[in-house]
Amino acid sequence: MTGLFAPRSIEELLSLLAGSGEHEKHFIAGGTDWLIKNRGNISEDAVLFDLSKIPELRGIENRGSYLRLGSMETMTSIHTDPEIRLHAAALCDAASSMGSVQIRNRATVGGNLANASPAADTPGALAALNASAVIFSPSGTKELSIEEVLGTCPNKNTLSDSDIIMEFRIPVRKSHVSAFKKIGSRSEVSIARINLAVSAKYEDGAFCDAMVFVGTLGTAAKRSPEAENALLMPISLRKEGFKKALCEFAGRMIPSRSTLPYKQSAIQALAEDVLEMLEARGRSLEKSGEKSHG
Amino acid sequence: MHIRLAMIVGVMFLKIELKINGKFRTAEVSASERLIDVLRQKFGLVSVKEGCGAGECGACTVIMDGEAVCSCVVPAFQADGHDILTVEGLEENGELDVIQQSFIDCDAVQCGFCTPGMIMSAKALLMKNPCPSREEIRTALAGNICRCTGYVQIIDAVETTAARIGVCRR
Repeated sequence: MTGLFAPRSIEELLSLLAGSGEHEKHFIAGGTDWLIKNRGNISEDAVLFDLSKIPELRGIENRGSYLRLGSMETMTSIHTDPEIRLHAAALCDAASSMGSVQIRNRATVGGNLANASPAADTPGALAALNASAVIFSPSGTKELSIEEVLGTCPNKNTLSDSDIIMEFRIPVRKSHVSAFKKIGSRSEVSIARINLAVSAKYEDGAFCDAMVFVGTLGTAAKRSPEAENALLMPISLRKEGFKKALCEFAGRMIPSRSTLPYKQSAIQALAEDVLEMLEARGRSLEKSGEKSHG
Repeated sequence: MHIRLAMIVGVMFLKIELKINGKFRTAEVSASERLIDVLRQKFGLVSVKEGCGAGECGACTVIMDGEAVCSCVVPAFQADGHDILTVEGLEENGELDVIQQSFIDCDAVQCGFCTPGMIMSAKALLMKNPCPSREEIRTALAGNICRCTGYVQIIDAVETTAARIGVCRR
C-alpha cells in the first residue's frame, strides 16, 4: 500500500520514518526529476515523504566561517541570494544556468545532489567550493563531502534509504574566487554535455589552493588534481597548462567512450572561459579590497 | 502531529487545499498525480496544455505563489496550501488581461498550443519586473517552446504589455 506523508518538521519526519519499517522510501524535494522517473511505477508498498513542508530544510545564512544552505532551497532562491553571489559564485553560476525559469523555481539543491545525475550542475560547484552535506537519519547526523555522497555509480547516491540531506555548509574563505560553466546542446535550458567548476585563492594574479571538479565524466563531480596543479603554473604558461591538464584528465576518466574527442575539445573551451571568469573576479576582488570569497 | 491521509483501495490519497484563480478549492490526489492533472481533469482548466510532460517545453506553465512553474513536474500533493494562477484567472469582468490583448494585437498566436504557457511565463516576469529588457524577456521565455517559430512576435507582445502597463519609460 503506497503511503504518502507530508511532515511539518524534522521531528515529525523522524517518527514517521521510525514507523515505516522496511518499506521502500521515497523522499520528494522539488519533484522535477522524481515525477519523471517515478510517475506510474511507484511500488505498491512504497512510502513517500514530501519534504516541502519542513522548515528546517530551508534557509540561506552566513554563519561567519561558513554559509548554511538548506537542502530545499531552489535554484532561483540560490542564484538570487546576495550571500551566495558574494561567497559562492560558482554555485550562483550553476544555479542560474540550470534548466529554465520554471525548473529553477522548483528544483532544489538537495534534490540535485541526491538524484546524482552525472550531468547535474550544482554538485560540481558545491564540491569545488569544498562544501559538505549534513546528512540526517534516525541514528544521528553526519557531515559528508559531496564526493562521498555521489560515490562512483552514476544516478545513484551512497546514502542509505533513511538518510536525508538537511543542509550544505560552504566555507567562507578569504581571497578566494570561484566560477562554474557548462556546455550543452543549446545556450539555455540545456543539460550539460560537460561542466567545469573551480575555486582558488587569488593573490596578485596568481592562484593557489585550487579545487577543480568536472561533471559528466562518470559522476557529477570528478576532481582533477592535474588541473589543480596546472593553475599554480606561472601566469604565462597557466592557460595552456590548464587546458592540457583537463584534456588529459578527460582521457583518463572516459578512455573508451565515443564522446571523448568532443568532450576533450569542449573542456578546453570551458577551461579558457572559466579561467577568464576567475581572473576577472580575482581582479575585482582585489580592486574592491573585499577579501572574501567571490 | 498534522498529517491528513485517506486510504482508498490500496492507494493512499492526500486531501489538498489550494487556491486556484482566486478561489479556495479542495481535491483528493494520489501519489503519482501532477498539478497539471488536477487543474485539467478535476477543475477543467484546459488552458494548461501538456506538451512534453517532462518540464522541457513550458506548455503547462502556470503561476504558483507568483513564480512560473511547469505544472507537469509539480507533484499534486506539493500544491497543498499554494496559490495557483492559470490563463482562466486572468480575465476580469469580461475583459481580457492586457497581456492577452497584447498577444492578439501583436499576432503572437499561431496554432495557439504554446500560448497559455507563454502568457503565464511572461505574466510571472512582468509581476516581478514590469519593465524588462528584450534579453530579460528572452530569458524568462527560454523554457517555453513554440513550434510555429513565432518568437519575435511573442517578445514584441510582452514588450507591448510592459508599455501598456505604463511603468516603463523608453
